[in-house]
Amino acid sequence: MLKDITLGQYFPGESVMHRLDPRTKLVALIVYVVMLFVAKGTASYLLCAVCAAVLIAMSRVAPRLILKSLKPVIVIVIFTAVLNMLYTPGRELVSFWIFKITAEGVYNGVFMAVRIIMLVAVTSLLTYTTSPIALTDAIEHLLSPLKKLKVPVHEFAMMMTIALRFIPTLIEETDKIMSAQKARGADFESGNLLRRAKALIPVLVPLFVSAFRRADELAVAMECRLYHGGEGRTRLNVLRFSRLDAAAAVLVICFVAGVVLLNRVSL
Amino acid sequence: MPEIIKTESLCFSYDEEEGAQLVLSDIGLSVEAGDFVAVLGHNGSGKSTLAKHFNVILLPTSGAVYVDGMNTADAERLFAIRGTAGMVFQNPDNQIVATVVEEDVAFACENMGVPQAEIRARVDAALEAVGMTEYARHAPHLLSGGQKQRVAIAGVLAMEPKILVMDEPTAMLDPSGRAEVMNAVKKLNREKGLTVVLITHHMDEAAQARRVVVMERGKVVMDGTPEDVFSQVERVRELSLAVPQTVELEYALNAHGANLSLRDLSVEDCAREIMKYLGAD
Amino acid sequence: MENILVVENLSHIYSAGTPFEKKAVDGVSLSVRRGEIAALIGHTGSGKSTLIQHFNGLLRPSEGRVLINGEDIFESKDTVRAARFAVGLVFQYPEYQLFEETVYKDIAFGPGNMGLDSAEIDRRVRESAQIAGIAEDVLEKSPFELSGGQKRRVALAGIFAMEPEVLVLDEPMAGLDPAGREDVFRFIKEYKERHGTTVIFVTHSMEDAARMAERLIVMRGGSVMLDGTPAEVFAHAEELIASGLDVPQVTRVFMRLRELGAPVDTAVYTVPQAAELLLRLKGVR
Repeated sequence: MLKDITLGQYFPGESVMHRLDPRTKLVALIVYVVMLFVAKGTASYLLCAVCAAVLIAMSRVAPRLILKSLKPVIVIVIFTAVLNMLYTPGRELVSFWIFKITAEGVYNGVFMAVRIIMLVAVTSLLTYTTSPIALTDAIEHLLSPLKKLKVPVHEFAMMMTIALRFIPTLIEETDKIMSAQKARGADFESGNLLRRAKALIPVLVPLFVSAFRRADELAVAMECRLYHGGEGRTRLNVLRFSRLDAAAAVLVICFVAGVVLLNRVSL
Repeated sequence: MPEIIKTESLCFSYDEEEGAQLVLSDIGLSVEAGDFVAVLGHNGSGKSTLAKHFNVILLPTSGAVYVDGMNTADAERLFAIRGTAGMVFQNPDNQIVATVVEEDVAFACENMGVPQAEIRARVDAALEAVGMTEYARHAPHLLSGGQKQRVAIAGVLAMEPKILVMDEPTAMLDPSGRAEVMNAVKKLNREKGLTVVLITHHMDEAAQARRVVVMERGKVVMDGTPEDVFSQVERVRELSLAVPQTVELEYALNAHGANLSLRDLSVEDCAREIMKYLGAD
Repeated sequence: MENILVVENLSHIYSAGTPFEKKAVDGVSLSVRRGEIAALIGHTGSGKSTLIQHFNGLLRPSEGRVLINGEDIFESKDTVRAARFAVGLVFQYPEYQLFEETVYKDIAFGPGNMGLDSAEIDRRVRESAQIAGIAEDVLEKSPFELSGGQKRRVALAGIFAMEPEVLVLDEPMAGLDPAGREDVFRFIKEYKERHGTTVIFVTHSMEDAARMAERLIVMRGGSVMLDGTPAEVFAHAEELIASGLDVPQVTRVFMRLRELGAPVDTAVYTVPQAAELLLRLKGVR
């Protein structure tokens, strides 16, 4: 049951998208998201959509998986679209009770929905094609200027890595503890909200106890392997920009220029 | 052979107070370089506490511990000692840091600031040494217990230590996982000359070592080759430990007038000894 | 004796319909008689842990049925709940499920869920604690301040207190030292003798199985490979070794003796039995 959760799931592969430096991908994603909000008008949106489609095709990730990533946000998409339809002033199309739907509202609602869908699709494309550890490395690198301001960037990245490492372990453990308590007659499925919340105590207490024990043991094991913070650390896999990344950078610039240009056209 | 670990009247107590219960009392132990020593004892005998002194996880309350000539109380030598005596723990899940096997094996080298090209070479060699090369890019949580524990060993090997200290590395594994780990460790000891200190409560693992040290209530109570130790059947049983079934069988026959050696730890030797017994009228 | 637990042609498939689909249990049929003590043996991944979670209805079979006292446990929600209490399942490393403030309360959790009155709960807690070797003064302690071996006892007592008709244990002795293993072995026996309970335990150790059980069920690749008395099962020692299972060291000594020409049988699995046979052969007995 809990094993089905796919948090930042990564699908190994050899596509162009997989081979790009994670920093390039991360920066490109940020640029893409910004441009989604800069984009105005059908032409700009079309460019964003085409880009998303091309990226997905290049990654060789099954479109089915991209659709799956959209499932959890469907409610938000519909909610946003409906709100936009109802609350945008303009030329009235239909009205009932205190609501009225305007042409501008429909237009805004559709664009808002498209915007969120593309945002989620491209973001999940990044996690699908980038291993969590590469992503953590990229974040650490990109944030490294902040080290000068005494921001604990390395520690933050280390925490992310350890969290990613232990999520599957703790999920498995939760499943196991739940089964063990069910075997002692615990009932997680009936009763009102309060009763159900209370029924979780026999699961949460052992889970916390175990998480603390693991943290304690891990800390000792890390010290035994000479961990002493980020200072003087070298890396097995050093991130390196390649020609591929240079090409990607050029394409990103073209994309930005394209959106800006098309914005003017449709105005 | 030079001694690589030495303890001098080592005493330890978790409580600082005078007269507190000693977990280790007056241990004088010396381990030769290249040896394979099993420390056997039941829970609470102090065997894990002793192991933690070889890696400066704990410091003696009184007495001293030397690792490759370095006094563990010397704070300046902390990293040098930990890099000399690598430690593997009981629960494989709680000592793997990274989400990819090779990244985890590289962890110690990265901390030591080893140049990148050399890390690569060390990681490859360490994975090769424990037979995990083909899993280099795998996620650790999907491996079996025995495989995880071999990854943990590789992570320590990458530091290129002289000593491998293992604190009950097989306690949570199934028989095939235990065999995997024991075979890897024996090979490292034999082929690379790595000194091994194995803390265990499995007498069959101790029987595979070259020297067995038995602990009880914080003291070393027996010390010798596995044959020397396990042939003292009554003494071992008094310590509520078991002897291998081969020895147990010979002992049972001796109770009825046979005169078997009690030193046959392998099935082959035991079968031959019994054949002699059956033949000699 | 009548059958208390019957498994009919049970299969279990994990993640059915996905690329990760895996048949963990494949067409297993078993009958367990009331009062029997059986060991379930097999590798990690042989399906034994999956199989036992069907006995108390934690897992639903993909195919097949589980009957307790002749009744299908998956008939309704109530029968599943009844099965939870009829079959007490002790998981691997059960000490990791302790959660209450005191040992007493933790042992009382199971009986409390059964809806028993407090006098009955008290009787059961005290009796189970006593069987599991837990001293009176420990009952008021926090389970988290106990040693590993003591925690294991508390977890066992927690299941004992539910007084199940069938006690199922997944590697009850895993991770314990020889003295701890002996203790757990004794507690289970003592509990069984007092209540006439049927016991099924999973183990990796052929030596423990041979010593404790009157019936061995060996699983491989999700199916039952061998099922019989220890003598019947160890008569297939070569097959067991070929499929990667460990047999007791004395059994291997006897296999070697036979190869060397001694007129011995290999269905030997304990040291006293082995010694007896050799002495008879020698003419001392």
